Amino acid sequence: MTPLTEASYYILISLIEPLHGYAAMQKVERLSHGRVRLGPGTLYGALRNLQAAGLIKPVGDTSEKSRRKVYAITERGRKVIVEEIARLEEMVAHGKMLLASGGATDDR
Amino acid sequence: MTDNARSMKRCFRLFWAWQEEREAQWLQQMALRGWSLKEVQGIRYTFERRVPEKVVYRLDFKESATGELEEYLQLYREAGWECVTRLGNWFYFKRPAGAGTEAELYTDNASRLERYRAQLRMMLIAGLPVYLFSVVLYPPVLYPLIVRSSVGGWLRTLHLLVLVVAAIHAVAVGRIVAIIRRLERDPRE
Repeated sequence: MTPLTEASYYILISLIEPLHGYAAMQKVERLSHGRVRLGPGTLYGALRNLQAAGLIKPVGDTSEKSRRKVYAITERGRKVIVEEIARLEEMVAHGKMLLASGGATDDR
Repeated sequence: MTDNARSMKRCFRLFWAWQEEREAQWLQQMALRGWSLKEVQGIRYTFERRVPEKVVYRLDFKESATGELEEYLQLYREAGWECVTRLGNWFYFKRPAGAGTEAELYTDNASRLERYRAQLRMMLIAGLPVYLFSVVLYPPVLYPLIVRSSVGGWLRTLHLLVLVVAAIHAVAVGRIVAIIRRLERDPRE
């Protein structure tokens, strides 16, 4: 699996709790204090791609006036998040290390 | 241009597929002058008399126009974008200028790329018959037919016309490919 885009990553983690698309977007914006703002085109595309990859799925929600589709993360989606977090942590660690050492790696 | 009882206005304007920004700007200027877009049919734009308003127009391209249409429009509506009208796969959205929410439909290059790739796919499929006909109608191909008939001159004219359409189409494809290339070269996601 190729790395997730920032938009897809944030939508995916916001769907750990089942939400409809726009609510997920609002949650992402709140969570990132307004840094990550998603246009509806980007949001719609991310939802479709995540669903096609089997990382989220629509869940039946009859309580709401069910015109809005509610999505939830799948088991596969959870696995991808865990992998993604490990990858991001590694990226951050490498960046910090090279900035601190002036570019030298410690493996020589 | 005709004004019917000053409540409706029809304009004929031609915008090519790569001129969507210019088209949106024109619609914004019309809205500022009190003409609100109602319908687009080919090159015919119908406007309605309204209070002059400062709005933002954006055109979106959606590849499959039928599937999930309700969800698509709902998401855009919730994000503050009203779908004014559509022309095939093109959707015309507007929202008040300067509202607090995000002003663009696409906020990263990955999704912009997807949108333009979908547009390119559709253009290539739509253009296929034109290219096919420009070969089929090529006089030497039709030569056995033309020699004995009086339709030769007419076919030649038709072929020329098809060639012009094919040339314009090729320019449009080139422009969209250029946009895709530029996005692909951008190291940002």
